[in-house]
Amino acid sequence: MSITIEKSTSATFDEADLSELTDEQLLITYRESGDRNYFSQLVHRYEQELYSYLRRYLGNSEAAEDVFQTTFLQVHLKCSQFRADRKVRPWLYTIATNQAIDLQRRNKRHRLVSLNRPGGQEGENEIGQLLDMLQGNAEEPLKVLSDGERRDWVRRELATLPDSLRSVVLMIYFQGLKYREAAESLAIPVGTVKSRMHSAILKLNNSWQAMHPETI
Amino acid sequence: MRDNLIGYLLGSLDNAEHERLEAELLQNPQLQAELEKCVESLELLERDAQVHCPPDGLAEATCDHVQRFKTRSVKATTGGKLRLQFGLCPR
Repeated sequence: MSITIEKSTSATFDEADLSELTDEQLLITYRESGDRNYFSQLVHRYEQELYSYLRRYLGNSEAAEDVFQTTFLQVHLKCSQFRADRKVRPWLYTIATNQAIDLQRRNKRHRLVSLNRPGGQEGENEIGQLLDMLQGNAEEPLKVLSDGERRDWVRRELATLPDSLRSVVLMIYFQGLKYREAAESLAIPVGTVKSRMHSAILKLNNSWQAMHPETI
Repeated sequence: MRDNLIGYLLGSLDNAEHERLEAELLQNPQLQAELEKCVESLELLERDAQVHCPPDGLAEATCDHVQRFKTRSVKATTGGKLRLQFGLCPR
């Protein structure tokens, strides 16, 4: 793919030109020129989409912000490794997912310890409530559910899925990635993405029906 | 074929897959029933369709973060070279 872009200084920079460039053109031109404007355009283009993905993946806004920043730091550091025959979008999701997994691993020990303490922070209470539900301590927790409570149930249930299933649901359903994009992001065959998606959705459905069959 | 049902509902299949599944659905009642179940399942997810908006200025803060990293890296590199030059420079 040949790219013909005239290099411009920041003083004469025309942002309208940038918006017409593809993600791949932005990244490759940034790699070659080091011009912050190309990088900035890419970050702004993915601000909403990638933050939303990370917010769902991590279940925490502060963690999502941190991982969003480290993701683009990795983009800067690894842009020399980006192959021109790849698409930026799945590459970004690969980096973001790996960064999110790294953060979760770093926090895992801390979280396990916190769960054993009474009165945790935001998120920990939700996990505790879920544990109560799963252990049957809560009395018919889904008998009467508001929309918000149903939403919270879905979030908690998604959070209990194995990473391999959850990341597929987040990418395909919530982020609107095509199967082949999710496959490339996760470095797995398209057929595996399809079967994981199917398994995850049915698991969610079975879980809901088992706990509250008359509400679906 | 059943692994394509979710993709069919979400529009994630390519054209050929989409057409093959539609043709199969027309003549396969069991697959139609499975499709209904998938519709119900996706309705569950719709309950969490809320979009998470990033905090104001996240993109700009991220660019600044990377810029600071670049600046620090350059300073560290230059600093190292300068120290080496000082060491070699005759007084």
